Amino acid sequence: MGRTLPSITQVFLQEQGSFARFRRALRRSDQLALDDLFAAAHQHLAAAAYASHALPFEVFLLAMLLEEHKEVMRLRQLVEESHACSNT
Amino acid sequence: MNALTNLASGKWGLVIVTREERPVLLTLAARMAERGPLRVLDGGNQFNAYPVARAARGRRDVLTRIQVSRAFTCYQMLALLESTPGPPCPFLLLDLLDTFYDETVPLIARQRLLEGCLHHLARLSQQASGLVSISIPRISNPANSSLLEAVQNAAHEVWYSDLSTPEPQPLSLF
Amino acid sequence: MPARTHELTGWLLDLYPNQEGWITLWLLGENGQRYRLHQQFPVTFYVAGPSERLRSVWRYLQEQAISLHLCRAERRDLFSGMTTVLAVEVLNPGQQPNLFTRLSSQFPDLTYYDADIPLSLRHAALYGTFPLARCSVDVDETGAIHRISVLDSPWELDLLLPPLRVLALEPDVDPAHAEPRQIVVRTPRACFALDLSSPRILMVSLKAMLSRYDPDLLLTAWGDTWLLPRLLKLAKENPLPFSRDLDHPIVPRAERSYFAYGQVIYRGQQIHLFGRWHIDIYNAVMYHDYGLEGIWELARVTSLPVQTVARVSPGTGISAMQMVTALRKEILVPWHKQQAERPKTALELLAADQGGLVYQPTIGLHQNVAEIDFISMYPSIMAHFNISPETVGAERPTAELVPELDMIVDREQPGLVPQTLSPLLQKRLKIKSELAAMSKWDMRYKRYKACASAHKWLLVTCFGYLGYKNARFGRIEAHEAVTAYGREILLRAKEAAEDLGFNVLHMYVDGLWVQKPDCSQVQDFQPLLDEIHERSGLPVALDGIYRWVAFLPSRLDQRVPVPNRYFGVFQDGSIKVRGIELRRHDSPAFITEIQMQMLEILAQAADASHLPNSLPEIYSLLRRKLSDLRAGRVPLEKLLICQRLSREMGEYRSPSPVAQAVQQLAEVGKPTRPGQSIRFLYLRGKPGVYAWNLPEPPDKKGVDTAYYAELLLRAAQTVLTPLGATRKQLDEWVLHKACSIPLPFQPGNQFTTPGL
Repeated sequence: MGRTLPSITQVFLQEQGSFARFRRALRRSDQLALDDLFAAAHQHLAAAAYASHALPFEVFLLAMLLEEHKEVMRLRQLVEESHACSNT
Repeated sequence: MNALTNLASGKWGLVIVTREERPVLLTLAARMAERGPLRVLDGGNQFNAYPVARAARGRRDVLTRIQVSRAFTCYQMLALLESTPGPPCPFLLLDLLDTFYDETVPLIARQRLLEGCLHHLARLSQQASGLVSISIPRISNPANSSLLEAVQNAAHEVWYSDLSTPEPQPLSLF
Repeated sequence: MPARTHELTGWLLDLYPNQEGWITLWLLGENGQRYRLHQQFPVTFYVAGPSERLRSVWRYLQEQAISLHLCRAERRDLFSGMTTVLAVEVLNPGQQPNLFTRLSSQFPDLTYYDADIPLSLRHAALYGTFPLARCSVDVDETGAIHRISVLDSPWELDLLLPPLRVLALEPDVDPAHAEPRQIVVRTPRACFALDLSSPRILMVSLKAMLSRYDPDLLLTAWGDTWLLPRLLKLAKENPLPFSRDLDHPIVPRAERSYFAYGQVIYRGQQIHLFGRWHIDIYNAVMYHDYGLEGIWELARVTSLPVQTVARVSPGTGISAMQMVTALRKEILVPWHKQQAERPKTALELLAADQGGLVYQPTIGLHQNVAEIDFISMYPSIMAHFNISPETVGAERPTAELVPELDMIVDREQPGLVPQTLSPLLQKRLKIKSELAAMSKWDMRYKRYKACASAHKWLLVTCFGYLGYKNARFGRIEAHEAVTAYGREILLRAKEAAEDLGFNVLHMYVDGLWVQKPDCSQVQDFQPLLDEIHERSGLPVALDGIYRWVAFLPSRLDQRVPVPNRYFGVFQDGSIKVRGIELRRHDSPAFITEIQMQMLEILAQAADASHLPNSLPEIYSLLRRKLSDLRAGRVPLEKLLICQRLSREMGEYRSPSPVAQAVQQLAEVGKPTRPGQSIRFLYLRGKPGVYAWNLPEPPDKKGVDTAYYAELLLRAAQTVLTPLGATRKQLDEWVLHKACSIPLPFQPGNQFTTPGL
């Protein structure tokens, strides 16, 4: 009834699927890390849909980077706290 | 593919593909839009803009040159062609007959509407080139063959993809 | 010389064309008498096109042996404005449909308006009538109506309904399952059974019943598909006064399957009566949701006849309302004419062709969460922002730019769709707020609930209808404008929540789930509700505050959240569930009942920290039920899977369970139509499937208990995962009866599922 474009979830799965060969050739532990990246991007599908970007993969990459940075900030805080503890 | 993009104006060509091959036409749309403005008329709910964008490498200037309108019933298809102003702009009509396979509309009405569509196709192609596609339906119905024939007769050139070619085999260009 | 008339007051039951060229109206008088009246009612349709063609039409029509009145007129087309048309007034309304069919096949190139409008809608547009409307009429001795006025309105909350006489008929057993032997007859005061083996006695008794009791409503089970067709056959030898109006022959409407709303819909055969209503509870759409009171409400609000409204899909109801509004405003109702979409660039299509915003929820168990919903968001958007097929894209000075889209909307001239929806929306809001404050024992509660369901059902489809390809006043741009507004509004709600310090746990098209430390009472969330209303302009309500709610992950990957898949308990103890097994149509009753029981056990916990205490009870419940299953103590009906047949059934490459069930039924002479549901069991070995309603009962011992056990454990896992239980643990405690049950659970305000 009027929906011409696939949903953002379908687009995401297609993009993820297009890296299937790359994934296959990676070592098993690297595959898991790659899966983590895609799971991270999956958290932000609504924003990716709203963005209406012509090349959605660019937005998914940005979402992966976003999650990575959040993790960095979290770890940075942990490190600082642990330094603070050991200094007292 | 090149032959398709080099159609002379004053004529419109017909491409017959299988349903699985339809995405090729989206790449074609991107190629045509790289050269200049393109009018896309979508009669099969086919215009998935993502593969078009990928084929155009995300170039916004190319994507804004494509003007697309959709028709969801055969009545809308005729209304769409009626309201499309004269050229000069090449046009790509995806799946002309898809909405005409609807059996809730009497065949006589569908034939009349199709006649109107073909008349407007002739008008639109007077000053710019045009390409019309038809995809072969999953369930073939003998009643629909009269519609297919009418379109084939009105087209100036007809191309078949490898997979859609009926026997015996005429020249295929894909 | 004017005829002598007297006044009657009563409720309008039915109206339809009669054999004398007028229309028959049935009035249930205030004095309790049922009156059969008639009225002159010419109907008009319009033809547009080139002048010489219209002249040919004129000549053609004059040659017809039908009383007509022809003239040129100017009327408004919704999109193209004032148009010159040929107005064809047909004095005998019963002749109009046939005349139109002939005319349109003779002149197929012309444009027709107001050509296929149901009679009751025309009457509603002219006189304001609707089924069960209280009216006053002036009639003469022959029963001819000289004046009719309507005394009440479908938008009233409370109404005085007449005492209707209901006669219920049902076979003693489901005809699809076995051949019935008796027909049970029920009135409020009597109940008895008649044997089908003595048809003469049966028919004589029924005839006496119908004549003496003279019901307004014949309420049946399988009346459309089995009972009335059977009685009609018997009536050939023993006539029966099915209708009150015996002059009108009964013509059954054939069954059909059609494709709509993206799926195949099956409509069974229908038997409509005259002067009396026939409703088949198994062919009445949504009957089980809101009963007869909902049907009366739908008929009053849409102006469609009761028998029609009970059987149609909601799209027809909305379409009817739009047609009445159009007729009243003298806007032409097109027969086939449709609007083409205005061109958009490929980039604009990327932005426009989106649905509602659907966010990934924060997985896990959360406490004191408020669910805030926009009330009927899409219809409210249509009404508030004046979105209608003719207001979108209009170039007028007062037009406003729609966010994100390069689209203009005219806010000044009220559109057809907003005008149609506004009274319905207002009534919905009023009823919702009355219900919120009402006690369950209030006399009005049941009726208000039925009305609320009926309104919701209608409103849910009006959005889809806006862009629907076959809708008379549909336009894809209007559909896209609504979703664009919807996305914008949800984002503003999110911003309001975040600006006020709330944590947004989940968002789904028209609702959001928020949480803030120290906020657990209604008044804590009121400022947020006010702020959202302020920023959006739309009505918004607090659906409830959850004591706790669990947002569930995907079964395949525990890290991946799934939108709209959760369960929780409100502060008043009620449970809300979305997206899990018990909400799925094809789940067997055995599974849905047990899953619900598990949730009820969890609901008894005072708060989230007490949830672990419920685990022992849940595990023992599961063990008991599993043992019942294996011992064959579960009734077979509870193990039935229910699925619908889609049109492509005949094209399956490898037979699916549904396909096999269909095959089995076809082999015993019970063909299945596309769109119909099939019920079947899973059996061990081949063929693996047993279609319900086969003449031979299945072997109870052949049930595939391993399969059902697996379904049960999965359903249990869905419920227990937020509490930290893994499938492995579940198997140990339930299947292997482990003695000690360690508690894996750390209570707290929010936690995530332990990694697997």
